[in-house]
Amino acid sequence: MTTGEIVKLLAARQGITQVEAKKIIQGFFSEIALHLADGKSVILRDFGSFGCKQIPQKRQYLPGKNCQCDIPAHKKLFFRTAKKLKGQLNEPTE
Amino acid sequence: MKDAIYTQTLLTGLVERQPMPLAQVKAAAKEVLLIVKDGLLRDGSVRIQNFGTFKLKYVAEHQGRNPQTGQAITIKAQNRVVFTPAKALRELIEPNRAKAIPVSETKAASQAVVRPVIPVTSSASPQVSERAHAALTAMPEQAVKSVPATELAQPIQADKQNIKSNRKIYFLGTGSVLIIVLLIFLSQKDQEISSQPIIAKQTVAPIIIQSTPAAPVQQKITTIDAVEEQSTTDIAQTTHTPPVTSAIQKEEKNTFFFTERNHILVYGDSLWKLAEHNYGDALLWTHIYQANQDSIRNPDRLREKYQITLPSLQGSVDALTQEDRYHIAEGYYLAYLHYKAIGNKDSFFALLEAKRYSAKLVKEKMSSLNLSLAEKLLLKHQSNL
Repeated sequence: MTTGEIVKLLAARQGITQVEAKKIIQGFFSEIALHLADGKSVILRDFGSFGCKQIPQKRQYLPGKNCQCDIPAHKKLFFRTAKKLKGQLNEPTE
Repeated sequence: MKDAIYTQTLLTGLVERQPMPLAQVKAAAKEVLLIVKDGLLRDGSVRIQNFGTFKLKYVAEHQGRNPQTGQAITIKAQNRVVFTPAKALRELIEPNRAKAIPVSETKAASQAVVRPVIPVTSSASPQVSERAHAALTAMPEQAVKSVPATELAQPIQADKQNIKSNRKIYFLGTGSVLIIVLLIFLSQKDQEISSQPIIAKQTVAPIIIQSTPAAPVQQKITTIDAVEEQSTTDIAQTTHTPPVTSAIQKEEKNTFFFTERNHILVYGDSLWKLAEHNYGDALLWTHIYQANQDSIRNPDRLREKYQITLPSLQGSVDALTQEDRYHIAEGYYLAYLHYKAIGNKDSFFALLEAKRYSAKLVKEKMSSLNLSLAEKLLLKHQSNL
């Protein structure tokens, strides 16, 4: 599923135009991104939570470069699934 | 979580930037998350532009440990959601991310200088390993000069002679083997050429005798020569083969064309592929779908490491029995219902295919279907197999 499909589905279900639907979707996700860039975590109820982890410097073997490398400290984004969504995705019928 | 942002603050911020009624945006945001969930179940992945992709990953049952007590636990098989951020999002979070640097080259250089010194110490002893000598020959000249030349001169010369002699043996060996292979090949060719005409002469007489109508039992007890005769003469084949094939067909009629068995799904399996591999016709994929309708929710997305049954086929692909056709048509009917529920435009084609296999089934289900006039007309004109 891609953004285009989501736009069409949202427009059909909410009774709004596709242009409006696209604006809402883009605005919604860009808002999440802006808060993440501030260093805050975002919680969407019954869906999951986004956040940033600070990862310290470490030495690691990189198969692409075929040598030991010093990886500098950086931020890593994570997504944690909410319990309700996990339950919905693991219904026993399948 | 400290200073976490919830949906309320998110949406008020959004409304400030883009003037829109808050109630409408709230409902829409809720709907978007539901759509993402549905998309995960349907396709297994949802990609959002400039944000990232959510992917469903199936993790099989495995052993784990309780981190607090160290007790062994079996973790159930489950679907997990994996999120990979898009490049735009990654750059937004960390605009100037430093690249990984290889461990300083000065260390590597110092190691390169140290290495050639090691074989020198070992070369002082009378028994020298071959590897050390190979390293010495490959070493740059400067490194060799630093070592006392008198000690090294003799072993190097001896080694060169050894290498030369080894090469000679190698070339001689390979050359002789090649010549032997060639000789064997040539001799076999000669034998074939010489033997062929003799067989042909011998076989001419028996053909004429056997070409007259004879009992099928006698034909089975034929010598190797007789088999070769059949391939050489077309006339003999045409007269003899029909009774033999009919006998084989009689044997097959008692057993199924394909007997039922179980199959554990692996990565890359699809119903289409399985049908093509097992039945010889990919269009029979609904036969498998019908037999596993309780376990397969989405025929386009199968679960790995999950056991399904491949049902038996009574007739061959060219001659399907009535029961087989009914089963296959039922599978197409199920596929039609599935695709219609999803909202696929081409779902009607599954129903057309169902009628192709069994008109009886479509007649039975006709009352429960809400078809338009055009669709009914199309169904009418669909011919049977």
